[in-house]
Amino acid sequence: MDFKTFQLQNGTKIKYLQRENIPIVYVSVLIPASVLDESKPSVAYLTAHMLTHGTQRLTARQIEEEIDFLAISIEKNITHDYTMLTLSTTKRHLNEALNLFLDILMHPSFPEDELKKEISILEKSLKQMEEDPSFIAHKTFLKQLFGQHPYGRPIEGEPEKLKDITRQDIINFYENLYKPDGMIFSVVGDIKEDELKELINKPIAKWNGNRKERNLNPPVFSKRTEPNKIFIKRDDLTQSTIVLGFEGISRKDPDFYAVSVMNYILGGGGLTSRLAKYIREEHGLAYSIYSTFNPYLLPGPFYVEVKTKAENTDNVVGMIVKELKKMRENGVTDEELKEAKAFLIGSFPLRIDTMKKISEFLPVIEFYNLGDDYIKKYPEYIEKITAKDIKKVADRLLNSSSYILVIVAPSNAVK
Amino acid sequence: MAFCEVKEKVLKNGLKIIFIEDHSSPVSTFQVWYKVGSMDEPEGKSGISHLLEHLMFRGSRNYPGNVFSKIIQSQGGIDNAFTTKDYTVYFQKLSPSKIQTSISLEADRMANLLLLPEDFELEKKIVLEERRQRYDDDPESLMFEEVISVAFKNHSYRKPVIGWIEDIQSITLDDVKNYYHEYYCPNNAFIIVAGDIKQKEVIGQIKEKFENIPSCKINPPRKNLYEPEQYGERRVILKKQTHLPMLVMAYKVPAYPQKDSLSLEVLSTIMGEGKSSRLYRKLVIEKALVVDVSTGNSPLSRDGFLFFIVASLKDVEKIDEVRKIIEEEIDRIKNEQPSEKEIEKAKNQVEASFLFNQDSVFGYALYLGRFEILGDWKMIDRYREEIIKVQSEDVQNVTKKYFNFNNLSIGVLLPR
Repeated sequence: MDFKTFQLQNGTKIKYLQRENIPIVYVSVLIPASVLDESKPSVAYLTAHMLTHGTQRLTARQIEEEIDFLAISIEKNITHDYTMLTLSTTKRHLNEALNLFLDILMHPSFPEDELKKEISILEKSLKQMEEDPSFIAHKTFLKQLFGQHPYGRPIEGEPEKLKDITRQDIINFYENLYKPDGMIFSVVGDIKEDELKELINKPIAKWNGNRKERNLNPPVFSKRTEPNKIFIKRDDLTQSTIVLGFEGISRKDPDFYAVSVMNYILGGGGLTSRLAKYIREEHGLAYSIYSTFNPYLLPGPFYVEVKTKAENTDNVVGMIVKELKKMRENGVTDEELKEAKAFLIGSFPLRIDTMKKISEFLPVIEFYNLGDDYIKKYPEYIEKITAKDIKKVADRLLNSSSYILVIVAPSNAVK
Repeated sequence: MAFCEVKEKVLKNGLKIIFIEDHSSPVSTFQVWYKVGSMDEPEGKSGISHLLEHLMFRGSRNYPGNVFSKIIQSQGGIDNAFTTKDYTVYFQKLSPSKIQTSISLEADRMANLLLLPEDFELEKKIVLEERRQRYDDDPESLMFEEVISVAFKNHSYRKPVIGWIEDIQSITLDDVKNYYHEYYCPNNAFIIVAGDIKQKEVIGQIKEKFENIPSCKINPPRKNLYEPEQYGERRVILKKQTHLPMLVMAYKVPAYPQKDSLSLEVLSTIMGEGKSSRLYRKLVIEKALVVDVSTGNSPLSRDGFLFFIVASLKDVEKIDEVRKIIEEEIDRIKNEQPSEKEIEKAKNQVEASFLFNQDSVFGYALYLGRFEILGDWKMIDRYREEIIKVQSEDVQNVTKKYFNFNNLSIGVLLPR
C-alpha cells in the first residue's frame, strides 16, 4: 500500500493515501491519551465526547446541526491506549467538514452545562450497561486481574464516581494531552496532495504546543496459587456468562505473533477453533465461545468467554480448562499450524478492505511502532512461527491452574 | 451513480448471477441469496429457515462433515450466513484467487446438503442457546419481539426469525428436508460475486458448478399474506431486570416500491436520525427526559413492516410524558410541513449514505441484493432518484396517513 507520511514542524505526523474511485474522504486522528492518563475515571471518555459540544466559534447545537446537514460523521473511539476520532465526509462537503473537524479538535470550549448533560447521560448508560451480564463479567474479571491499574476499569468509567468530575478535570486532560506533537493523522480518499497540504497540513502546522509526558506504569499482577472464582447471582437469566482468564502480553512483546497463532487455534478462529469445535460443534453447549488477548502498550488480559445454559456451567468450565491444559502440554499439530498461518496471512487484506478501515489502521501502525512496511512484512512475521514457539507461549501464558473465573448466572448454575 | 460496474447473467436453470467489479482492494466476496425467510415458514414451524441456515454448515455430499468454515478459513477467507424475515444469505470474503473454493462449496450445498440426524439434534441445541443469549436474556431484543408480535395478528411478520422455543423444539428433520427441497433451488436464489474479480473469468467457473443443478420441480410456495385492519392501539408491557425503561412506538407502513415508503424514509431522518433531529432535540437536549431516542424504517422489506420510534427513558414515571411529547412532534408535522432546510438535510444524508455504502464492496453487494429480493437490483437507481424527489408535502401526507391511533402498537419495558 503506497501511502505517504508527512511530518510537520510541530511534530504532527500525517499519513496520506489517495483513492479516487468514490468521492468520499476519511480523516482519522490518533491522540495518545486514554485511561492511562486519567486523574479520575471517565475523563478520557468525556474529553473526547465533549469535543463536539462547543467550540470558541460554535455552540453544541450548531455543531450538531452542521454535522447532520452536511451528512458527515465524527466518530470517537477511546481505547485503553489512545483516543481516535474519524471524520467521514463526501468530497462535496470536504471544506466545511474539515473546518468543523479541526475546530472541534483545536478549539473546544467544554461548556459546563453541556458537561453536566453528558455526565447525566453517561451515568444512566453505564447503569444500563451494568445490567448486561457480559459487561459485568468483564468488569469483574478486569478488576480482579488489574486491581487499581487503569486497565482494570471500563473505559467509560464507573457510575458512582462520575459525581467527582469537574470541568477543570476535562480541561486539564485536554491541555496536557491533546497537543499536535503527539498526534498521528491519516487522510484516505478522494483528495489530491495539494488539497491535503492546503486544507489539512497548513492549518495543523500553525498549531503549537507540547504534550505532557505519559506516565506509563505497567500493571502489577498479584500472585495466585489457585483459581480465583467469583460468582455473581442473577436469577433473571437463563444462561451463565463465563469469563475465564489471566495475564496476557503487551503489543511489543516478542511473543506477539506466536500468541496470535496459538490463540487462533485455541479459540480465536471462529467455529473452527478447538474451543468452538469441542464445546459448540461437538456438544451443542453454546452459541458463542471464543478466546482473545488484548495486546496493549502494557500487558493486557487473555481470556475465554462463553455463554451456556445455567445447568451446563460446571461442565463447560471443566471443558475450557481441559483445552487450556491440552494446549500447554501438547501444543499444536502441523496441520493446525499450517491452517492458522494460512488464515492469518490470507485474511489480513480483509482487515483493511475499505478506505475507512485503512484510515483507522495507518495511525495505529505508527502508534505501536510497527513500521511503515508492516502490511508487507506481516506474512513474514507469521510464517516464521514454529510449533515449538507455540508450545513455549502456551506454557508461558495459559494459566490452567490459577486462573480468574467470573460467572454471572442464576443460582442453579453452580453446585 | 454507482462507482463500479454491475452486470448480470441468468443461467439456464434460472439462477441469476450479479457481478460487481471493483478493483480498489485485493479482496472479493461471494454471496448466495435464497429468496426465503421467516415470512415463508409454515404455521408451527417458526425458526425453520434459521435452523436450516445452521445446518448448511454441516456438510454436503462432496464435502461431508463439519468442514465448510475450516476450508474457507484455511484459504485465508471468512464465511458466515444470516437469516432475515425476507431472505437468507450465505457469504464468504476471500482473496480473488480463491474464489473457486466458494463456488465449489456453495454449489454443493445448494444441491447436495447431507442433513444428518446427529447434526440436526446438535444444531437445535445450539439454536436454543442462541435464542437464550440473544432474546430470552436480553430485555431490549425481547421487547422488540413482543411489539412486532402484537403489531401483526395474521401476517407472518409477527413471528421472530429465530423462532418460538416450542416451534424450534417441534421441528423435525423431515420438516427441514422438505423446506430445503422446496426453497433451495437455483430459480429461487441468486449469486452476487463482487470485488477484485473479472466477470469473464468467474462466469465459466460458476456455470460449471451451478448450471447443472436442477430447478425446483414446482415453483416455491408463496403464502398469500395479509394483515386485517387494526382497530385501536395495541400495547404490551414487559417487566424485566433493566435500568432504563424503554418506550417503543411502532406504526405499520408500506415497503418499497410503494412511494410512501420513500417519504417515510425522509420523515425518519427529520424525526429521529442524528442529534439535530426533532425528537433528539426535544427529548434529550431540551427536556432531558431520555438518554437516547431514534427512529427506524425498513423500506426494503418484501412486505410492509413497521416504522419504529424508540426511546430509553431516565425515569419510569415519565413514560406518559415522553409519549405525549413524541405525539406532539408527530402532530406538528401533520399541521405544518417540515422546512426546506430539513428536507435538504435529509437528502444530503441519503446521498452521503449511498456513497459511504460503496466504500465496502461487501456492504454494497448486500445493499444491492436487497433490491434484487424486491424484484430487480436495478431498482437501486430508481430508488435514489425517487427519494431525491420527495417534497415537504409528501412527508406531511405520510405522517397524516400512517401515524394514527388505529395503526399503532406500543411496547413499554419496565424495571421489575
